Amino acid sequence: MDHSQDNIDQLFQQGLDDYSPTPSPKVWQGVSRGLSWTEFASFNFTNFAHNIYLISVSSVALVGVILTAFLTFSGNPSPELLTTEVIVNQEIPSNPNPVEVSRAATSIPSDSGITSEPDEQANEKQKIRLEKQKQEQITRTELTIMPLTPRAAYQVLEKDTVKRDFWTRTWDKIAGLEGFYRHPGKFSLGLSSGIDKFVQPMGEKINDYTANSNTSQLKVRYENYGFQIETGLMLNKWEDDGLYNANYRDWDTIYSYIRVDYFIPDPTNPDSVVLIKEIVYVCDSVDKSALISASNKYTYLTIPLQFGYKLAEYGRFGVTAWLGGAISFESTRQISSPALPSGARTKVSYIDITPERRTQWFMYNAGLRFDIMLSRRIQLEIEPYYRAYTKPVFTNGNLSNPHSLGINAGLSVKF
Amino acid sequence: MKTGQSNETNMLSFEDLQLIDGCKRGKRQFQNLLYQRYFRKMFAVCLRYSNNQAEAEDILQEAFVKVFKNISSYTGNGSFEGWMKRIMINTSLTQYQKNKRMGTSVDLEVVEPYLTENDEKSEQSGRAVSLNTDQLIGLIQKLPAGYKHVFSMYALDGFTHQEIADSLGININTSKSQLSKARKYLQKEIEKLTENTR
Repeated sequence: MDHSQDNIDQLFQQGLDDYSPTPSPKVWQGVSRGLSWTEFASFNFTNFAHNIYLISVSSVALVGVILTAFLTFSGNPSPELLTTEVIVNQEIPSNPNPVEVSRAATSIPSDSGITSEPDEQANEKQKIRLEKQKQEQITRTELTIMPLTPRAAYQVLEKDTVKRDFWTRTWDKIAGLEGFYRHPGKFSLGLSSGIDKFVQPMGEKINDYTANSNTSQLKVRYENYGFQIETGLMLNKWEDDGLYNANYRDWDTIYSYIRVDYFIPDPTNPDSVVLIKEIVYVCDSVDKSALISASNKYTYLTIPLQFGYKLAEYGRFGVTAWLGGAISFESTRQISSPALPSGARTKVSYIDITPERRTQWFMYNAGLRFDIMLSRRIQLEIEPYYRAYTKPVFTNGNLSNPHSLGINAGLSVKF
Repeated sequence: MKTGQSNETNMLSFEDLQLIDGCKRGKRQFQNLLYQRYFRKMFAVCLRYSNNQAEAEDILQEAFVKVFKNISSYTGNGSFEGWMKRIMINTSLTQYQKNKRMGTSVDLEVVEPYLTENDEKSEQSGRAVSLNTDQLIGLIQKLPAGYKHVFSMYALDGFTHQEIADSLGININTSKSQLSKARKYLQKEIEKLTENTR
């Protein structure tokens, strides 16, 4: 390598040593999106809780689509098939000629002394009526028997009707179309729990703040002619990282030196000596700082008021759309103390840099409720919803309003 | 990688350990903090291996996703910054191979005739020059892909020729000759720049 080539390398090494260009803020947004997708796509039981809301919403949406398709395309059992079944099972009367019997019964000797004119008229009418009945009987017999030969009837029964009927009857049982009816009560009381994925946009430069929270809800509902009004109490539990700037004192090497302990004559060279030396590290307490976190817990008490309308009902199943508002108050707050890892560190101070959270909120909700009657009174409910908050979660900073997506599942009882 | 050229230390700071731990737990807040800590340095690496800023940003994004996805495999042995840098470089090389297959990147061996002219003159020019960082990055980005990768890996990232040959799937002598050609090419370009600025 010649000198000029060394210079080239050095020129670039020195010139780019502290080079720190700034990429577009969109890069982090892309990274964040990529991570979200990776987390969702690489589902396993360790990240199950992290993706529960996505999985739940996807599952409910899938069930909804299947249910809607099923309700749309599966109507009442096919009338042709039912007719076929009736025809096949219909028994032709053992005495197909009742006319003869009637005639025998009404046949009166002409010499009985009774005037025959009204009798004749009556007989005539009777005859016409019986003829008509006979004609109808023949016509009906022809109509019913003509389309189905015994072989064809057997094939229809075995290969089509019975199969379709099995599924139809099974569905009828599941859907509650066979003898099931809802309790007529208009009030219901329910319990549900779920998960809520909260998103607070933090502006272009910083990634959105997201948090999962668990919800538990007690609700009361009144329903009349498909319209519903609902209220209750809901507890929202958040777990979040508190952030601290920790200033602490730690032992660290401040310099080192080589100490010559003693020397001995060099056995190979009488004019020199061999130094017996040791590297000595000098330590002192050094002030340092670090960013550390601690887990904080918050509980919010929420009172919703929402209005709904039952969009569809089919046997045991129903779908309701609802919207409303809710007011939320912070009820408890557990702040954990941050802790430095064990070692020879001395705590100096912590500066809490956790953004202050809002203690009272108002929000708008909208969602769907998929319900399944498990018995006349008890109903299983699954509710995916969207929630828009009217204020940001953090009180400081000029932030836009957050939103959340969630899903609740629970039971309600009719009264 | 050679250890002398990059002043990286194997000792992780307490803050780094906290951030890595948070990232291993999948906390997005910590991932963001780690990104904020390193994204400029890593972007500088990506810029050296790409043709322009947009391509470098794509590489940076893809590489950071890989970093967070595989951070649990980082055991703490060796420099964390070095580990990240290696991911950036590998992603850049993969991206280059992908573009090459799709025909959007060309292997510019066409500069060969350019290099053979006035070689003696260029080799004698060892005088001190002053270029700003944008000009230096521009010069690297203008290099043909093969030269760019070998030059960046050897001169700036401290790889040995054997490591470069293994990474790029080329012969060790090819790596050496490409480095030499890259230097000559850069010399010529620097001369041009300095002549223009006089």
